[in-house]
Amino acid sequence: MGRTGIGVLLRAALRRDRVVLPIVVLLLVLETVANAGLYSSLYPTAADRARLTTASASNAAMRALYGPVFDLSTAGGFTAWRVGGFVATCVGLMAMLLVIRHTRADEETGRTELIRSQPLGRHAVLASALLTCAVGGLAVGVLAAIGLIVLGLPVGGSLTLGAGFTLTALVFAGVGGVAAQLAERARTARALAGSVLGLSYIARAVGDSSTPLHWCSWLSPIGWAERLRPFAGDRVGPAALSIAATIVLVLAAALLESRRDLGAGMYPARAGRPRASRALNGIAPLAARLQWAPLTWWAGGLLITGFATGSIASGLLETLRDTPSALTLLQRMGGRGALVDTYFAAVIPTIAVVALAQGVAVIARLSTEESTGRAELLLSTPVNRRAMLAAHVGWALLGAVLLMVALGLGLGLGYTAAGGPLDQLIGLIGACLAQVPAMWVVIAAGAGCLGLSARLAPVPWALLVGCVALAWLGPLLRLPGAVMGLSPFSHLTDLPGSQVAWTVLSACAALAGVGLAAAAVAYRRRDISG
Amino acid sequence: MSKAIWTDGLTKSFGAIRALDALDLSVELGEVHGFLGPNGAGKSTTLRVLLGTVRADAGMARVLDGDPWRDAASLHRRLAYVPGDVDLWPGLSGGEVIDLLGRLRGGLNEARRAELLDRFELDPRKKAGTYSKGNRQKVVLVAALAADVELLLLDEPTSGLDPLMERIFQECVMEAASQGRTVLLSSHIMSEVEQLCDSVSIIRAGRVVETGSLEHLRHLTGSRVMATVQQDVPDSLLAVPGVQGGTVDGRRFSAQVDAAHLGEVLERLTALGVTALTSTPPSLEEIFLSHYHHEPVDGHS
Repeated sequence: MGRTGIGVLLRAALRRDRVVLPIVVLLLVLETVANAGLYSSLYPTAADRARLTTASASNAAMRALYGPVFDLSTAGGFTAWRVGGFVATCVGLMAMLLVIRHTRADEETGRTELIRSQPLGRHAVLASALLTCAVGGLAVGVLAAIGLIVLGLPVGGSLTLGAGFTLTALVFAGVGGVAAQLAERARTARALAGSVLGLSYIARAVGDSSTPLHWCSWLSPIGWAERLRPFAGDRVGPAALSIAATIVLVLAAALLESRRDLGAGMYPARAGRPRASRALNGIAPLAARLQWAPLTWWAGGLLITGFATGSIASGLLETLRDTPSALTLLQRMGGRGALVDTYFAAVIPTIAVVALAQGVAVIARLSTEESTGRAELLLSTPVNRRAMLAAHVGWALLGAVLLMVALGLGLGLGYTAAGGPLDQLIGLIGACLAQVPAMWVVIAAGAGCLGLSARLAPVPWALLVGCVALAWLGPLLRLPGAVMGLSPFSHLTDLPGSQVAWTVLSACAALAGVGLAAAAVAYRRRDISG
Repeated sequence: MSKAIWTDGLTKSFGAIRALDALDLSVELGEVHGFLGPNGAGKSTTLRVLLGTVRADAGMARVLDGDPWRDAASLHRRLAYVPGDVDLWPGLSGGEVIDLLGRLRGGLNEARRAELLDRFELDPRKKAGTYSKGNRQKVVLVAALAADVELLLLDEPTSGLDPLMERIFQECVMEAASQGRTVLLSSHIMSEVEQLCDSVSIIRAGRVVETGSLEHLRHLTGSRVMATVQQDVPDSLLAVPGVQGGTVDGRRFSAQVDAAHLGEVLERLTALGVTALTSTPPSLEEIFLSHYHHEPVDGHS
């Protein structure tokens, strides 16, 4: 039988994820509940709500980004529309990454071989990974529902919205499970499952924005979650699709697992070159080889995010024009310039903090070089440590610049495509680039942690989460200035729309420079673990 | 320059754990030196200090007449290192890793690269992520052995290799020695060390407890004496100084006897009327175990 040991493995997996998983769950729950809490202050009157509904329902770009408009006259309906699809997508991403982390990634490092030598069932590893996702997905669904109920929203709708999150987690856990069987390497599995998630998002965006193509939404697990119609009829039917898909995917993953050898995949990895290319002749080309591909994915992602965000600008502002309370929030985030400037000034930092994850991942990759013994192997050659640090961290610094250009370009093009003037483009790119020095400060702090000790590897991620939390939730929760001031992003001026604060930017850049220099000195002096 | 490696009182702690405790190690130029000890005795830490990736808390270390911490980069042109276990870059092929490491060291011997790939039966096109542990080990071995360096630092280099490949590895080390290279071979495989090494250092709890040529160590440990005599052997014979691990079974006697006390033991056996006598020099394994069995090990790992 295949069940022996599942409980032990599940507990071990949850223990391994005891920090990151609760943080992710909490952020997603907060995102949901905060939006519901804001509704009545943003749209206090029936007239405000009616305007919001008409403007949103008639704007294809906004439907593409957020989902179909069912009923925006209640806080619940608004929350389901505004964050339902987004949180469902995030939960799906979480589940998919989690399954692959506990199956294929472990198998790749040989950890599974060790576990499998124990008296365990054949499918115990897969089953415990899927259950770990179920626990995470259930936590998001249940806690979000409880939060909404506590806010006084209808119980039925709250449960339906939460169920949508949990079901999406289950479906994408299944997708991750299948991908982990097909690909021989975790990275390929992530790319495979990620493409399915991306296509699901695009399918529902197409279906939700275009009437003749509305059937596209029914191809997407995210679309199914939206069509549970939380707070707008609470339907059960689409849940059957999610459940059926989960069962089929889990069975497929189990079947595939029975038919393959440990360590092998259905798609074997392609053969590489027998000789290194002439260019692969030093530590900098090696770092480039390792860091380049993820950066291009990030740049592509930001271009698309920017385009989507830019294209809804006009429509969104239409809904806000006569809603003073919503304007107040926007101005708290983006300043008091022209309305469109305020909008861009509000969204740019919230996206820039997420893009910062690229820089943190660059540093994490260098930590991985150390924990796998590869850094030691490289340092046994004439490579010096400063060169190794610079070769990697450079990609974080350069990445920040490149990603902000991509974001600005996307915003400008999206805004133009939706009828805005093209001459905003340069200003938007500039406004995005103004985020770079703040990003550098966090990257330098992360590099400093790496320079001090290999054991500080999780700290840069914590810094990132802190910046994201402050940028996203700070203005909603009206956190005091002293707390907000912890994030370097809070010291930047609102661009576009106000003067460029060159002193702040130079101070950030100088601070980052000092941090990087200190990181280099510390890294030179410490032990490299093997 | 007379010594390839020399350390004096090398000490290193990781938190509360003392990994190296005044370690003295000396490796002559051109010799193959075995570095023996169980897991956790401090072998890898010693090699890391010699590589300059770990800094000693106290003591001196010299590698090829340089300071391994200060002169790391310049020394590394002249040595190659093979770790016992390494995760290679999953996206790079074995051939790419070999070329990369070779180029970082300032070039590698192309003919030897091709020959080693052939002898180790390694497919250089496979991505490192799909290699077995043994094959990953071959990749770093080929990269190190194809480099024109004076010193090879090998840290349990044959872990994961099958017996055939282990044989090839031994041939390669002997060739390296015949070309005048110095090899420091950390291992816990006795037969490997016995086969390859001119001299040996035994490390225990961060300290070198015995060092010298194999001949010298055999002499120190003494021979295994087995005798059959005409009368029952008195237990008092086991209490003679220099007699270790002895057993008495009626008229049979068997024990490890130090060279210095061999005469005394033989005299007392002769008095009992010897009918059969064998004396075998100790194997390296017996030498090694004699350092680990008779005293409680005070180090932890």
